[in-house]
Amino acid sequence: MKTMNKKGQIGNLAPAIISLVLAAVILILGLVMLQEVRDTNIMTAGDEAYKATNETLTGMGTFGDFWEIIVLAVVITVVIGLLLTTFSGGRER
Amino acid sequence: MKGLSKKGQVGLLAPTIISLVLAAVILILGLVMLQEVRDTEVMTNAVSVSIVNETISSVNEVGDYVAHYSDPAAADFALSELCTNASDGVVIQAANYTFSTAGLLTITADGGDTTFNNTDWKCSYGYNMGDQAFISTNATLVGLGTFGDFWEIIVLAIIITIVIGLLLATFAGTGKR
Repeated sequence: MKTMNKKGQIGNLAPAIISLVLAAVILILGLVMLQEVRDTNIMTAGDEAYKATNETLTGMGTFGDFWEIIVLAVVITVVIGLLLTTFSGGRER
Repeated sequence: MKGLSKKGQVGLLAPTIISLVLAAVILILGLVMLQEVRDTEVMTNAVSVSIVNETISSVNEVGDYVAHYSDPAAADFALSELCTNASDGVVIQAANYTFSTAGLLTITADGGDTTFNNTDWKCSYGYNMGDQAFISTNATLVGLGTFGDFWEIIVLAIIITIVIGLLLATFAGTGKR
């Protein structure tokens, strides 16, 4: 646990949140783009391209269901890391 | 515990709080951004839907929502034709009821034809709703928003770390601090 320190644990929080928010924004903008492409006149509902785009949209959209578990993982990492730095023996931090 | 010092423990407090506040501000701004994106026209009005002859049970003065009122971002509900009585197909005149843009069908209390009160109706209507992008954005917003539930435990962990660190620095052994 050479690189562990209390300041570092909390310091990880802001970049983690920035990364999460950035990822979410990119995901959402990507989904909007995909949806707009799917709904253009060049595709009709029966086309392979339409079906593929729709499946892609649905598939990528399932990411939205997993944000809670990602957030939970970040929180657990920060809290456990913080506690470990305090209670994991007398090593120098 | 060479690195433990009382001053160091308490000195962690200010940077920690700054980091927390920064993280919270970024989170909130991100959530606001996502919400604004979610509520744009392109998201909320992605699909126009038409429903034909949906049966609405026991329509009364309190009002009944149509089946699709809770679809993602469902809005702009409007009847496409006059409703009929489900049992005999008699057309119910428009003066007898109102239909809100939120999808609530209500018999008018004053002067409405009571013949159709608490009977089943058939109505055709259209509305706009969000598609996959809206649903996913909403799920993302809710998911990231759960971070808000964990601030207490993070703050608690920080306090515990500082307090225990301070106690350890004071009482753990007789080494020089």
